[in-house]
Amino acid sequence: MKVFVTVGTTSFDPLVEAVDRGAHAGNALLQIADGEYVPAHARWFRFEPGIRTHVDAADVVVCHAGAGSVFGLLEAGIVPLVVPNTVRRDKHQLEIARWLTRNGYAVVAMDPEDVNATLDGFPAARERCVPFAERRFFEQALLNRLVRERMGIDA
Amino acid sequence: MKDIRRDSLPTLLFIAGEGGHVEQARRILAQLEPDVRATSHCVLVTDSDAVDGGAFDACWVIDTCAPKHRASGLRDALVYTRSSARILWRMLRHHDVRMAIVTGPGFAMIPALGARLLGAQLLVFESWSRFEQRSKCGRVLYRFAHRFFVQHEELLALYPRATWVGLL
Repeated sequence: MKVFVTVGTTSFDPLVEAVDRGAHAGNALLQIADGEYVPAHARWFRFEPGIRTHVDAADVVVCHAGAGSVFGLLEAGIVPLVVPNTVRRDKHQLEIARWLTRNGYAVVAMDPEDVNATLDGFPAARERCVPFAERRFFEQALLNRLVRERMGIDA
Repeated sequence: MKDIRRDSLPTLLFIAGEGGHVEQARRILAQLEPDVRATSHCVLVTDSDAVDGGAFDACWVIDTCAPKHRASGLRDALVYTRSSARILWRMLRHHDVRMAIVTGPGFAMIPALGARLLGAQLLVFESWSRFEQRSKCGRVLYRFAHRFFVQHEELLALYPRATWVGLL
């Protein structure tokens, strides 16, 4: 099983280290941002302009619970394994992790230490997830009216 | 997209931090109708020079100094304040800023309030990563925004005057 791990723009060393020391390291590619832990077993890189190629090549995408990463994957029809980054000063990634769990949109490991066990059971857990069905932005007309009025643009 | 004459058009600011905040700003930009987009100078104000501001006409960077995994100190605050003041001066001297659209995070507060003081209309989107609690940026700017938007319906309980608009 090919594993791709992405931590977004903020380092998340506990997740990177857990995967690198786990049984899936040999098949894993890790995007580690500016993390201090340098993987010893898995392949890795810090940043690349586009990670879509890596996402498409993976059987499992493990990501931090940053909304940009999570929604981008769900919108692409990919069920990720999500791990909230609580190393950050603010702990808001826990909110989206709980929301994903409540709605069944993704597989969630609340603690990086659990990521390898969760990876072992991922194929079955993915089958239990439901399609992403959050209501998309529906106020285009309001937004454009407000901008037009303020910017002095005639309709 | 970049055209040197575009900076003479009325300016529409997007104030958004790196990562998902900028992605939300990009998605708002993509919702603008073509004539609105064509007649506005759309500027991204962000907190990292690593941000790809390619969809916008210009990108102004505020130095916030502090990484996300440690608390900010006095030096960070000074760097941020000086950098924000420089951006506000730029707005005042060289641009007709009519509207500021904010997607957070906390660094966005000073440029947003500054733009409002300079006469811009302030539209604030609470971050799409909020479901249970208000963000610091949302809590403060809710009091000052002309319009405040939430992307998840459950947040209306925390922001009664907000408008639910769906997920960007």
